[in-house]
Amino acid sequence: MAVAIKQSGHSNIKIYNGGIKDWKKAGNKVDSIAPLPDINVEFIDVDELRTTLTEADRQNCVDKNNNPLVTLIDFRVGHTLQERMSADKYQIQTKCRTIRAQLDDFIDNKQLIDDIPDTGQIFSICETGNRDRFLIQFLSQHGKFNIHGLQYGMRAWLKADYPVEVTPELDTTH
Amino acid sequence: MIMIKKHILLLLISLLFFPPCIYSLERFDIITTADMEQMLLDRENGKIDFLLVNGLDRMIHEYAAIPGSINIPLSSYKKYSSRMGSDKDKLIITYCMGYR
Repeated sequence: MAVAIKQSGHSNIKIYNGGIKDWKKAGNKVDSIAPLPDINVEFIDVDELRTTLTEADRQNCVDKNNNPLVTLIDFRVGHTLQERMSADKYQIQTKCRTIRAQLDDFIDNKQLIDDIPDTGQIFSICETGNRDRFLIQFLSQHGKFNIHGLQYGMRAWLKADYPVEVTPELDTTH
Repeated sequence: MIMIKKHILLLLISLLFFPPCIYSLERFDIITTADMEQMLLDRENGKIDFLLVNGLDRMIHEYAAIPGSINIPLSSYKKYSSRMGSDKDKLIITYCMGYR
């Protein structure tokens, strides 16, 4: 963030490194204009997700009634083109549907929320797993309860060297 | 010796192609929680002036933010950067979640 601010011409920048985490830890108050429901957020580890997706892919990711078995919500969209060309260049390879959007895209976007199926398993994917709880808690307010986060995020998937594919909108080979 | 000079020359030439990335080598002064608490108190008492800016997603900012913060979601930086105003010399303190 500091780099982005510097690039836009500001010259006097300091960083409060502790962030919200340390601010709250020190017992300080925070402003909360849109609290999120304090529901329990569950995570799946990368090996379990791999197994789940492998099994789902065998069935083309639909059940006998043509309902999706698994849907991924990948909200890792990079902040800059440079980020997008590196970490976000790849997504989890699967026949199951991946909804790609930024976290804030879900605010005031009923269509995007309605697009999340009510059947099957849903897994949210962010960079490190640290932002999943916000999305999951937010979506629970809109009747979406069947969502688990990926523990340690896409980094865990990449570290495990599990299959990836080039993110469709970034695929320059076609 | 000639090989070393060649490598140095290649490195210098390659840096010409990456000027935007040089910003990432910047080092910024870090302030502590105690500093932050004092500075906010001083701002309230009119002793100092600065902008407290976070790059959190709007959803996260609205869930929890340090009082008196301006939110400029990093994912929409260009759209909201004008919230920092036009004074390019004004002190800006930036923060995020405290972990990635």
